[in-house]
Amino acid sequence: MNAPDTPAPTDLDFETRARLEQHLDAVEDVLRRYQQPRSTRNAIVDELENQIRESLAERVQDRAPTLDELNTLLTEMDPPEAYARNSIDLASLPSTFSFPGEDPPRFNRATAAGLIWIGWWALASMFLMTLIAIEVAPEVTSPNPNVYNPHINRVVEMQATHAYQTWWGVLIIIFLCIPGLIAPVATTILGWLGITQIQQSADEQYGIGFAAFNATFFPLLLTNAATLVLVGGIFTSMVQRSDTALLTLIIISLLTLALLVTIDRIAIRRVWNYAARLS
Amino acid sequence: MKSWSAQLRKGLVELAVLAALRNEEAYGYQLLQKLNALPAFSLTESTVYPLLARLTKDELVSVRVGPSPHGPPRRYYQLTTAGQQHLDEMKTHWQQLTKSFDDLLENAP
Repeated sequence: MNAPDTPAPTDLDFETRARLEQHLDAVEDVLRRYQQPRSTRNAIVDELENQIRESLAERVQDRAPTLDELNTLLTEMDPPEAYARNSIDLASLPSTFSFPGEDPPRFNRATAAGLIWIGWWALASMFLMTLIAIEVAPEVTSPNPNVYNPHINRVVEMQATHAYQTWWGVLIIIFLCIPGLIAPVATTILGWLGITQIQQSADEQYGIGFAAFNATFFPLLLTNAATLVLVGGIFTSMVQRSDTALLTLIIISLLTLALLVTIDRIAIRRVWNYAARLS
Repeated sequence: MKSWSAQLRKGLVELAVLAALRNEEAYGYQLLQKLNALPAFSLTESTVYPLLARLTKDELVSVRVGPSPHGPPRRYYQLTTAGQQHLDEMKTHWQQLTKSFDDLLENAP
């Protein structure tokens, strides 16, 4: 069964080697685009290089193969695109014969946790704003809203208390709002964790789009908010010196919108490109 | 007919690769040549090498790296115990299937 170990051909010349590497790179690129992990890509490309070199060695015996000979061989072999088709086929067929007990692909847990945390953040934000907005009337916190103060020798009216200053407001903040408000950090971390886990799972986990969403949602929200604050400040200073406030507002609003769309688009595209390929 | 034949071959690739490794280890190109020597069962490298990578990941085959006179080190594949069990299950299934189809085809009008 062993193939004959013919002597190694002398090193390929520059052009031939470059053509070989171009072919191998093209195959690896296809495998990367179809989300094959690095170890898989390396294994496949190494096998392919071995095959090409051994086939060339069998053909030319003890001299160095030429570029034409390599090109002829490559035309007889599968083109790089063939690895895409087979990557999909093999990934979608975990086993040609299915046996009981094989797990189907599952949604990534870190991504699911990140999505839940975003929901929690939205809920917590609403609760916090409500707690800040609500004022608790004095009679709720005290049986007598008007209290005699002996130090100043007169009756004073008790101030209304904010809901977040009450014991139940504090409890809500501790158990609901604080976990919700650390969501920006937690969700971003979970997003990147999800991307990494999905990439390394070789199609055993899914949800890469949601993981990318988790990874970008809060950073983009923060970036957009910071941009708006900055532009708002610039606008305020410009309006003080301008008689055409409305026109300035329209121009700045359009420029800001264009800037935000550009920033968001670049960021989303970069994260998605990273997420869509495998490390 | 051509498409049907291709689909059938595709479904048998894993069984063929595991069966080819049943008695002896082989490196990728060597395995490809062995499978291509089977009549009516030609496979290409873009099918076999990704499959070998997956079988390795699934721990159905193990890999031993050895020197190559021509390029990167050769990767010699060998069935693991799990791979042997998997092959036995596939073989049983395949034999039942072929027997059923033999009966069906022989009794066909």
